[in-house]
Amino acid sequence: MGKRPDQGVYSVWSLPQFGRNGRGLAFLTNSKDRHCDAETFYKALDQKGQRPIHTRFEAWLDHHDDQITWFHGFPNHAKYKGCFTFKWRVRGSGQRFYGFLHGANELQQGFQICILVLHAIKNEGATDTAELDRVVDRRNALEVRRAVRNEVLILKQKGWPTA
Amino acid sequence: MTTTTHWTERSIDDFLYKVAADFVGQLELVMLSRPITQADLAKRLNLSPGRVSQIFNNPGNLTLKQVIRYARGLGLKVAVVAYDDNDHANERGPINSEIFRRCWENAGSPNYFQQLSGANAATTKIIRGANLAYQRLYSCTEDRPRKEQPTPPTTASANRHAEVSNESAITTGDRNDARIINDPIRVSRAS
Repeated sequence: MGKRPDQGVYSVWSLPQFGRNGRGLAFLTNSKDRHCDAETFYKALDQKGQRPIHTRFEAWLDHHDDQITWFHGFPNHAKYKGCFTFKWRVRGSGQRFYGFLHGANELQQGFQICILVLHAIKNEGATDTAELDRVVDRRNALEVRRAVRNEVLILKQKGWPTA
Repeated sequence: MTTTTHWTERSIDDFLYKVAADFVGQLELVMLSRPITQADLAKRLNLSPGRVSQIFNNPGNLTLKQVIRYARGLGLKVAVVAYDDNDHANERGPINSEIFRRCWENAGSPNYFQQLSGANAATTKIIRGANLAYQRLYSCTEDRPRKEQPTPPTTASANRHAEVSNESAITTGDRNDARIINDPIRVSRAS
């Protein structure tokens, strides 16, 4: 956990049920950061509302990286490299989770964790860079990096999510 | 690590959603590659674009009849596969249907059962051919001091061996083996 004056405490909460094959998922939380709302949004959903998100999470955990209609990174964009998004639709409205990847890439040993930062509604075709900018700002913040590192250490001690 | 029940174990509807969503995911990838829009597919199926969009956004209500209809609309076929992955408590959830499709393609897209055994026979022949190549290599260098003795390939490495070292099989002079590497199914039919 880390703290910035008047900006609350950043924490990283991994989702134990969504960790396997060397990949895991987590939420970045901070009650005073209104853009850090992915976890709040997710927890407010009922069982039915979580289904499309779970299917996308699992496709990523299973390394089904061709499924770019459900999730993708931004590997060709220098500034947003390492950012990641999960995509789904609810009643015709495009939904997104934006976050960032931490840890090994596909070619390396070890595990990779996707830290989800914010939820956004998106119906335009082009990527809204404002959302990605928010993700990058948080990813680069010292207290966030510290919170991520702590969570990763805990996960490593548990031997998760390599199982 | 503590084991928990998978979210698809909460209800049949959850399980159905996951299976149906994986199916729709497959359709999306096919449509992306061709490319075909949802509106195009709607035309082919004589449905409104809204109806198709609804199915893609919320596949949880798909019926088997609709599954077939949508697949056929893209010229695809469908198989409903029951399998035992030794996860009887459903801690890991269903396996993505795309994995089954790729396994089927990797096995040479067999469409009758003899082709399955043919694929196995071909694998055995690949191993035999590769072993021969190793033996010949070994006999050529036998009189020279050697640091390491080459290890013959195992079953697990057979396919990779076939992909990366076609040349070693061809140099054995066994044309059948060379053909097997190129097309296991066809050769197994011929033999």
